[in-house]
Amino acid sequence: MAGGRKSKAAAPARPPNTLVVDNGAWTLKAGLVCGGSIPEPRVIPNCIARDRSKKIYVGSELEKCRDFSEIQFRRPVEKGYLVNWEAQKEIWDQELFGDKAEVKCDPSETRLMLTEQPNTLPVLQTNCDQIVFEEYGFSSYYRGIGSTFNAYHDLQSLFRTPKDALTAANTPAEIMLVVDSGFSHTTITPLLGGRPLHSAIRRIDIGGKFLTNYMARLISLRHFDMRNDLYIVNEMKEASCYVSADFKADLERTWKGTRGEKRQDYISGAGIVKDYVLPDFHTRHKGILREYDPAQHTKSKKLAAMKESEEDVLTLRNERFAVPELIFRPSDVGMRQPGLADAIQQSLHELPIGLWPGLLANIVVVGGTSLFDGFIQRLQKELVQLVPDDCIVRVARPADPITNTWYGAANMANHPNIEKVAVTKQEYEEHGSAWIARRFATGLLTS
Amino acid sequence: MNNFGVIELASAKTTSAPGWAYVPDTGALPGANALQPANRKRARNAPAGVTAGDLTARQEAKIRKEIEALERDGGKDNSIPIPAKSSKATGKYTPNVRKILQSQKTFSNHLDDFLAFQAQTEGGPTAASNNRPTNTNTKRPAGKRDATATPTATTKPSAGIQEEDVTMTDANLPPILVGSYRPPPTAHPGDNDPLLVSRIPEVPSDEELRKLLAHPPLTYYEARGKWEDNYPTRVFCEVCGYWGRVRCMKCGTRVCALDCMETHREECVTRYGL
Repeated sequence: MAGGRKSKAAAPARPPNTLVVDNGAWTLKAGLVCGGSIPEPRVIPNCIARDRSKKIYVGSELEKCRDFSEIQFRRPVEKGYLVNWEAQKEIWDQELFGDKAEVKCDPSETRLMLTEQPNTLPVLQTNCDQIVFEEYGFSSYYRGIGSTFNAYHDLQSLFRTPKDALTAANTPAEIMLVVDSGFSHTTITPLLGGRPLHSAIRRIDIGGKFLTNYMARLISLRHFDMRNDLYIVNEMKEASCYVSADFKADLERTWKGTRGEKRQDYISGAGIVKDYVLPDFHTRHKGILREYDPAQHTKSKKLAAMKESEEDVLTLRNERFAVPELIFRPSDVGMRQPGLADAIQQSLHELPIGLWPGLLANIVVVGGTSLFDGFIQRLQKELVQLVPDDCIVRVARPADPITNTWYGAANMANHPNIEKVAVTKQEYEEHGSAWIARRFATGLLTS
Repeated sequence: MNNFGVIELASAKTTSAPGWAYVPDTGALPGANALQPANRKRARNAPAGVTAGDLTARQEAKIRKEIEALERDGGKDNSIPIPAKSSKATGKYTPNVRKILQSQKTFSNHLDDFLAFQAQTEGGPTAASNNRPTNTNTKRPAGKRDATATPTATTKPSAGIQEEDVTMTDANLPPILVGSYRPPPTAHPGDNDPLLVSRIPEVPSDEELRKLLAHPPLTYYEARGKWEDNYPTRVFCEVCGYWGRVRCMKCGTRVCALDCMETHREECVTRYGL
C-alpha cells in the first residue's frame, strides 16, 4: 500500500481495530481490520425472516432454514437506505457484538467504517450517527458513500492496462466511474481521487428486488403463482438469467410462432431455453438449472413424467433475458426512467467534457445485480454507441463485485486518508451530529 | 326556510360542474374523433405507436400500479416482530436512541417529511445565501471560497465551525489530477497532419474541478435519472413476452398472435364480459 499508515504525533491515538461494515439491503458485509491485515469479510443476510411455520431467523441464522417456501422477510434497509434501526440493531447485536458473533469487537476501542448510498435523506444520516455514537459508542467513525471505496483498489490491473515500472498502483484511483447495481437500485458515481462528483451522481430505481418481482410476475402469469416465493424466484433469477447481447434476435428465437406453425427454434430450444427444477425442500433444497430437452416435453412424456417423478419443472424461455433487460430499458414495463447507458450519459453531461475520456475508460461495475452474464459486455456496447467515437470505453467487473466495496473500504482503513475524514467520539460529543453530517459531506475535500 | 342558522355568502367562485357544452366543430368530418381525445371506452383506438405520453388514463393507472407492486419488497405483510430478548432488551437508551428505535417510519414517510421540509424552506435559498457571508471570518479570497464552502450551503452554517479551513489555502493543495507518469511519446513527422491529428478535450482546471467536487449532494429525486422521450417504447405480448404486434379489440391489451389472443380472450371475457 502506497504511503502506509501515517502516525501523526498530534492526532489522537488511532484505534487499533477498524470494523468495516458495508450495510447492503440484501446482505451486509462485515469484517474486522486489525493493523495491516485484511481478513475475508463475512457476508450476512441483512434481514429478519419468518418461514411458513412461523419460525424467525435473524441474519446469518437464515442458513439454518430448511424450507424457503413462502418465507417472509423484514429488511432494515429500504430502497438502499438504512431506515429501520429496530431491526438493524437486532441484526448488528447478534452478528457483530453478540456472544456467538464471529466478528466480535469492542466498540470503545474500534473505529467503524460504514457505507451508505448516495443521495440519502439527512434525517437518516443523523439517525445513523446518533446510534453509532450514543448506542454503540464507537471511538471513531467514518460514514461514506459506498461507491467511493471502490477507488481504493488497484484499478489498472483490473483493466489489465499494460504498465511500466514507473506507475505503481496508487490509491485512491485518480479518476473512475462506479456503477453500483445492487438490490434496491443502480447508482452511477463518478469519482476523482476517491471523492464523488455529487452533481453527476445518478440513480435508476431498478435493482435485484425489482427484477425478482418482475420475474415472479412473469412466471405467475405463464406458469404458476410464485408471488409469495420470492426467495425461490430470486435463486432462479440468479441461476438462469443473463443479459442478452442481441435482444431482438434472442426474442425471435424463443418465439413459439403463429398458430399451426411451430418454429424449429422453439421446439429445439435454440440454446436459450432451460428447465429449472424447483426445490421441494424434502429431497431437493436447491433448484437445479438444466438444459432443455425437447424429448421430455412431448405430451405423452409429460403425462408419464407427472405420474412417476415428483419434480416441478419450469421451462424458462424469454424470461431468461427479458428480466435483466429492464436495467437497460426500464421503459419495457412502462417505467419512466432511462436505461443504464442513458443514465451514464446523463451523468457525463453534468461534467466538463475534459473528464469524459478518463471516466469512460475506467468504468467499474459492482453490486450483486451486475453478476448477470453479459452485463458488462452489453453496457460497453451501448455506451460505445452513445459517446463520442474518440473516447475509449472500458467496462470492468471485479472478481467479486459483491465484496469489492468492502475490500475497498478495508484498504482505505489502512490508508492515510482515513485519518483526515474519521471523527472521534469526543468530537461528536463536543460538536453534535449536525457538525458530523457536514464533516462527512465535505469528506476528503480539504486534503 | 330553515337553514339551521347557516348564512350563505355569495361567492365569486364558479365551479365547472360536469355536464355538457357546445363545442365548435372545427375539424373536417373524419376528424370527428379528435373531439374526444380521451376515449375511455375503446382503448384499442389509442394511436398505434404508443409513447408514454398518450396512454389513456386507465392504462397509465394500471402501469403505475404494476410498477408500485414491482417496487414493493416481499410479500403481503412485513410486520415480522423482533424476537423477544430475555432481559437485555430493556437496557437504558439515550432519548435520541429510543426515539430512533421506536420509530416505525418507512422510507416513504421519511421522504415525505423531507419533501415537506424542503417545500417549507423553499423560500429560503435567499436565506441560505444570506447566511453564508457569516463565514467571512475565514481569510480566504472571495473567489476561492465557493470551492470549499459550498457543501455547507444547504445546511445552516455557523461561524467558527470551519476553523480547520482557515489555515488552508488553495495554493498548497496538491493538484487533483496529476497527469501521466509516462513521458509523452516521441514526435512523429505526421503529428501535425490535419487528417491524423488527435483532438483531446482540455482537462478542466484545478479550480473548476474543486468547484465540482464541492458541489453539495443532490436530493433523492434530483439524482434520479431523467426520462427522455427519445425512442418509442417497446411493447410486448402480455401473454408470452414476444413483441406485442396486435391489440385486443376489447381492452387494448397487446398480444403477439392468434394463439396468445385466445389465451388472453379467456381472461378478457371473465373481466369485461362478452
